[in-house]
Amino acid sequence: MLSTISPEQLLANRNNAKLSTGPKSKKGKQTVAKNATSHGLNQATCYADEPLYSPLLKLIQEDGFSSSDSEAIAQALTDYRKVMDAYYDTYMAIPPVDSAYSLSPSVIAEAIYDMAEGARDSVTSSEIRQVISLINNSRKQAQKQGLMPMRHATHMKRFMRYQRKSAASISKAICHSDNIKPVDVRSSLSTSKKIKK
Amino acid sequence: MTNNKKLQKLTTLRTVKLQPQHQAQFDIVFESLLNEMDTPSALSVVLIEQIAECLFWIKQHNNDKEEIICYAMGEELVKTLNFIDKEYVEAITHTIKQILQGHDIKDTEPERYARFEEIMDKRGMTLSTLRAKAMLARMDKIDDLDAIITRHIQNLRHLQKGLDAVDIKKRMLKRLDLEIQQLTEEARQQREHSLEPPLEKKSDAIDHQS
Repeated sequence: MLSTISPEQLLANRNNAKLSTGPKSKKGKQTVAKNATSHGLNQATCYADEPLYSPLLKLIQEDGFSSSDSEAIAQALTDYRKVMDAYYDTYMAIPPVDSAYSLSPSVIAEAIYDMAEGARDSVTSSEIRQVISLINNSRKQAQKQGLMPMRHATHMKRFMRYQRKSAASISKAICHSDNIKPVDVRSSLSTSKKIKK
Repeated sequence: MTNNKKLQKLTTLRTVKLQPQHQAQFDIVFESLLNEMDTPSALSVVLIEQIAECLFWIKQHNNDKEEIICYAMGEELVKTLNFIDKEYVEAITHTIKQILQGHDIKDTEPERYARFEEIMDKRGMTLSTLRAKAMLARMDKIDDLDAIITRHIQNLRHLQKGLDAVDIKKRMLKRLDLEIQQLTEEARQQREHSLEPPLEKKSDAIDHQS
């Protein structure tokens, strides 16, 4: 559906928004600080704060890995989980299709000219053309992105590089750990030592 | 810690958390993979969970690919009109999906089928030509999904490599342990043999006495 505000009002709103100096309260500033955060995968991880890290570390240590190897493996797994959780969240929250998707260029132009008819004195024809091109651009953008399943492809692609890095670090951490002593084997090894003595 | 206890502990940990509609599908894959392992360690179970998740995503994205093609077919058909309407595209896509899945909408919904046939005739298309055209139109999206699926396969390989490393090392140590046990057993038997007097000599001694 087309917006109900007039083109004049639309341009005025845009110009007024440019004068804004942003939020003033502390809470507001904290909120807008997260505006640009989409998944937070580029931030350094504080493993101690990750809920998954310490139980994983404990389990891996109980498996017989040395403490340094356990840490490396638990860190790699925590990183991988962070990426995959963000991946799933993004997949489930793909933004809805823009309403401009269903608009016809001729219908847009007709509607805008109709709306501008009442305010001929204050709105110039170049301003009308500007509004029409704005709506047309968003229509083209929406049609290029396509409907819901097509949006998955575009949105999920950006996680590929994070996945590559984290999955490789898991295999690297495990393959480089040499001091592996599984529990069931360790118990039987101790009996063989006794025999040797 | 016994294996069962570890698994119990891991179920409380459960690294992969999905929404209910996906969780059941994931659990089936995870449990079938877990059943293939004899005595998995805790790390193996975590890795198997990640592998099951990769398989889940590969399947999910393959379904997405098929969805994209269906929607693109709908878009291609609606292009005969002067503008693309979202709801109309979705309605046509629904019809196409039902036909491709083998539903007999010719009998159940004759009006809808007639409308669909009318548009197809207007454009002079069959389902296969429409599919080819739709794939061409949305090739970029299909390529993206293919790249994502390939990424998941590579992730799976990395995880499998890690799992093999855990499993092979464990097996090697087990084998060495069994060899040690066998050697100690042999050594013990040899020692026992050496302490016992030889049977032939014993029988000779009896003969001499008689």
